[in-house]
Amino acid sequence: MLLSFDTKADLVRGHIQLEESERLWTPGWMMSWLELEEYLAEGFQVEKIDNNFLEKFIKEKHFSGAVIDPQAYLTSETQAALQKIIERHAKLSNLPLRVLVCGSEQSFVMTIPSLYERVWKRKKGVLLVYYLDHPLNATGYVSLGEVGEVSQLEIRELFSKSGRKANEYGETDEQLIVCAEEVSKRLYWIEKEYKVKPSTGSSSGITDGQKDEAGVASGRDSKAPDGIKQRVDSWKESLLSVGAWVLPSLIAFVAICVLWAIWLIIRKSRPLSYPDRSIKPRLGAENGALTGEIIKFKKINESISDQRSDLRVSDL
Amino acid sequence: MRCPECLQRIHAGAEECPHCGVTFDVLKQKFSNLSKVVHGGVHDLAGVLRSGMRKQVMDSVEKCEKRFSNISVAISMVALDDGVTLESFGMWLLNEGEFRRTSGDRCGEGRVVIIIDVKRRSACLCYGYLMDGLVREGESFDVLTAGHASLLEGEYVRGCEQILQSLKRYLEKVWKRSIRGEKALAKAMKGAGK
Repeated sequence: MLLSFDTKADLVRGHIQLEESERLWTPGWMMSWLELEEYLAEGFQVEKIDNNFLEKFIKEKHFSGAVIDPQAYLTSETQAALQKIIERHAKLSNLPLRVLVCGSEQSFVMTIPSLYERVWKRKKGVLLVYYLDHPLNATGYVSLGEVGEVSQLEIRELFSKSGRKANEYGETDEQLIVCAEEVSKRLYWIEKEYKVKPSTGSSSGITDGQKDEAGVASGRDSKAPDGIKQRVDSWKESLLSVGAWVLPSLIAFVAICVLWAIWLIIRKSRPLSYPDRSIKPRLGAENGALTGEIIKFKKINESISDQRSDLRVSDL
Repeated sequence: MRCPECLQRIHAGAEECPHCGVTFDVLKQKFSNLSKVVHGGVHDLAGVLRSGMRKQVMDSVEKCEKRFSNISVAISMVALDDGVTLESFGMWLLNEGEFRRTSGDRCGEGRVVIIIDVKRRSACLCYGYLMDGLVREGESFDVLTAGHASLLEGEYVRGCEQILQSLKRYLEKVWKRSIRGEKALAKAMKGAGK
């Protein structure tokens, strides 16, 4: 039975209390787009959002954003902060991040992977489905596109750990921000493991907004094809740059020392040659006539120093 | 230079000593009865070295000579009579000695002879003309002091080894002096030529 518009509104606002068995609801896909839009515009919360609605919402309403907030839960500040995280992530990663913000009671008609594929086809990306005030329930999907598939265990671990980290914080908005940040950080390992490369960009099945998003992701400097390299900590970078020249310098120094030692050994082993001289013979002696001082070793008390002091000084 | 006989200073170009009239021929006559054969750098007139000790000294002499291509070294152990100076004997042996070795004798002007008088307990060094103008008397004394303690104890072999080691170092130093002198001379001649 289809309820009238006013009755629907009262139902949502809780003015009409119905038993669980009597509660009637109209799936979003049965409502007209206009009716649904009106609901959302007035701040009503739809119990279930189905894929059609979501697809329409994203493509036609939020085609330029990665923060999908159909029921406008987030304040503008929170949206801006989240957008910033997503933009920063886009510079460092090859997997665009999208955040779908839902109410705590929100449920989906189809599974998250089906939802993702319905909306984004087989494009690479990550969808974080975040339930406000329930970070532990955070879930999502990671799509590698044509490259392959991330295991379910890894996906579960990614979102559950991020949710657990976010749960440490008190504020609702803060929890969401932290959860998104954690997902962004932890995606590094998935990208590394699956060797995710930047997407080339294709126009089929993507809206302008998604093209822009893909363009941000792939518009990184082509000289750094692997965005993972940029994630190396600054101290590691400086260490690598220092180590790059220290080792060769050390090797060069050792080589120089070794060569110098070899040269010394060769020099020592080479016999020395006195230059030839022509000296007039003295007193008729042909070979030499020079005599040094005489040293005595007759008496112990005739010390060297005493003898040296008695030395005659002569000019040769 | 000094006259080897009377030890007075005489002119370097003098053919005989103006004080005592000695010439080299006089010295030749004086020592003609002594053996002038030097085997392997060892001349043991005094007879203080046994065969084993002689071999040891010969090895030390060879080690010292190896460092130089045109220097030969000899050690003479003598017991000179009174009235005979060590200098005159040294000059005689330096010029008249027959230096026999398996590798063949080297240039006569490059000889260095260490004279050790075991009777009068004194020692001196005699140099050939190759080292003329390069060696100093005081430095020669320092070379001999290396073996002074051993010679005092009567350990001639050890004393000879120590003196030879010290002589080797000294001759290396004199060689550097000679090379520097040659370079300076060449530079001066080049400057004069310009």
